Amino acid sequence: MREITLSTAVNEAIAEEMRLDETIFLIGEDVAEAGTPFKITSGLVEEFGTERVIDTPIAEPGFMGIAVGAAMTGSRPIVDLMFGDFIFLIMDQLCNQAAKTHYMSGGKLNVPLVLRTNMGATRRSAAQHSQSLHAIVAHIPGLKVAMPSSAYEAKGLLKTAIRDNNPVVIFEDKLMYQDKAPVPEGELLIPFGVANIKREGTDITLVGTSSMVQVAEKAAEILALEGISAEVIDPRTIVPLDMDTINASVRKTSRCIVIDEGHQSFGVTSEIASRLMEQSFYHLDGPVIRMGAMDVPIPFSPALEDITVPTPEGVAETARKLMRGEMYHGD
Amino acid sequence: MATEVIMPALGMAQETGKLLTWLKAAGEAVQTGDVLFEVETDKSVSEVEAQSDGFLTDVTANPGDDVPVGQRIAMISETADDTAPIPTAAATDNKPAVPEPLPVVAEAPKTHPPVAPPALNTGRVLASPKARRLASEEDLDLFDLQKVGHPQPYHVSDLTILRNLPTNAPTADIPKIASYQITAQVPTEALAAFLTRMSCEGGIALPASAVLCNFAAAAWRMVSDESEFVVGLTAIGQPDRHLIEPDRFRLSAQPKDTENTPPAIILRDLTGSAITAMQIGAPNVALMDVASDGATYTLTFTFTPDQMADDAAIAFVTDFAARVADPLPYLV
Repeated sequence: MREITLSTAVNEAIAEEMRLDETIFLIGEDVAEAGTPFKITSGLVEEFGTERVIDTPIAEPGFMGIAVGAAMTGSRPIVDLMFGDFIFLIMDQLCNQAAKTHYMSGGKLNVPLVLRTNMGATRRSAAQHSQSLHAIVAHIPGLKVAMPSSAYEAKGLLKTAIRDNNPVVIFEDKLMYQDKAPVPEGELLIPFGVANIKREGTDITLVGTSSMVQVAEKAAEILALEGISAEVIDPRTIVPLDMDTINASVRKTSRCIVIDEGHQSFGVTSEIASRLMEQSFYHLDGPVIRMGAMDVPIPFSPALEDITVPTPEGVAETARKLMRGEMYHGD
Repeated sequence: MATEVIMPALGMAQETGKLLTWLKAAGEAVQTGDVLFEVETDKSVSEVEAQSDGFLTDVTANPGDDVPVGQRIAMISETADDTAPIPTAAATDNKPAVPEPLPVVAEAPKTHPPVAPPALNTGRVLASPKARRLASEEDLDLFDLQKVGHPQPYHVSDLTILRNLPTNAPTADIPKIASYQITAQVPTEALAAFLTRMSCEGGIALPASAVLCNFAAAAWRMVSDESEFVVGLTAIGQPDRHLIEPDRFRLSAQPKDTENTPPAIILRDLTGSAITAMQIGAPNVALMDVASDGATYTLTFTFTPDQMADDAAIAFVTDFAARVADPLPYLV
């Protein structure tokens, strides 16, 4: 199978869906001629024109509001939010309007909207352009949240999102846009709420989201050299969350580390760890460990930024401690 | 000297124990290890054993009573009517009234009352949920790991050590009810002479086991209430036989075999083998082993208390041995 970058996979998914459905349009800052700062949407305006690939002023609440209204009235907008950090600007449009309209209208109105944005640190973009804010969105009922971990997942999840009649937020890791993976041409739909067992193992389960799937896989390779067999699970969507697969894995291995790039406190790692505690408590041979970004603003300093987020070495070391029963914190 | 019987502490936070039943009556003789009474705690029903020999006296607690842990509920005295003065604090060397955990014999539910070791127990065991669950399923007590000083917290891997501790190591099934044995030795000469005479003078070749079965039945009749019974005959390399009242038949006639009635007593003929006696678990019925070294019969009688009383067993063995030692008067 041909290998393409994650950014090409996203471009391909949008183009394929726009060819299939004329009600789909793309809206955001610099999405047309500039093709976004990450060159994801390059070429789309040439094929679909400025009426379906719409550049906006620097006014996130405005274009998000336009998109939500358009979705309610028969269009299927794809909103491009240049940085995930800007999501705070559109919280009312997203969380109060898009998320709740179907419910508040008694099911009469749908909001078939896709919000594409990004996440991820270590790009030296400093504290206001490096956050991973998906947990904030996942907290709101009515929003689905997808977190592709490769070009393959990016295409399959985005195509599924576009066809979904509910608002879906997709967080792409901006560090992975140039990562290549085998992606089939044409139709590729990945169902929501179905986790992917990336690697099978028997001793410890590593649940990773987005780029942390790669971190977990690299940690598993390190651990394999030491005789520790790690299972790596990619939930692919955190709303809905496939706890069946995660529970089954943890019941097999009896140990788990959850890795996510959001801040560790009150985040996705906490949610998955809590559910494991509730649902698989009597199968646990050690505490479920959360590994997220430190609870600090992401530093600009490369030396500091690199240690703010989980690394394969850090995950492997934590896994070793868990295997040795050394996660005991005293009386 | 009289000793106290106290309400034991069978659980960590147990303050009282409910006396369910006395298994010994006041004035009754008890031996160390005899079950005295049953206690119900919030966890289980446990049996409590006597810690010394003597007679149960001064019973102060009745079935149904909720008795504070450590309180004296009876005495074990030297005589049945001993009204020994109750030991006072001064008389017992000012020992603090800390109840010592008593050994637990049997429990109704499958839970371990955490009988804590005095020094090491810190009140709780730190263990992973899975380790706890597996230990519970396998009826292992994580306290045992703590007792041997294995560092906490415990994980599933530590259960391997726990399983191999001497207290949990698999042991052969010990018969629950003890069986008793009585052994007698009798010269073979007289019975051998009798059989030779029967063969030479009467032309009747009799196996020794036929005479032994006859004698066993006759001796059994002396101690048993049953008027009709079956004697089992087991011999190495021979099929088992169930003979109806062999003492009521002439020696030369074959007693009837039955398969329906279980034997009241089994005669195991070990003569002709090097084995002198066997005890392979508690026998289902009273068992008389007859072994021979040529000159002497070794008669080993094995029985359990619920099969017959000691006196009856002694009388039976004495009578049987007398018949084997001198068969003629009994057969004429």
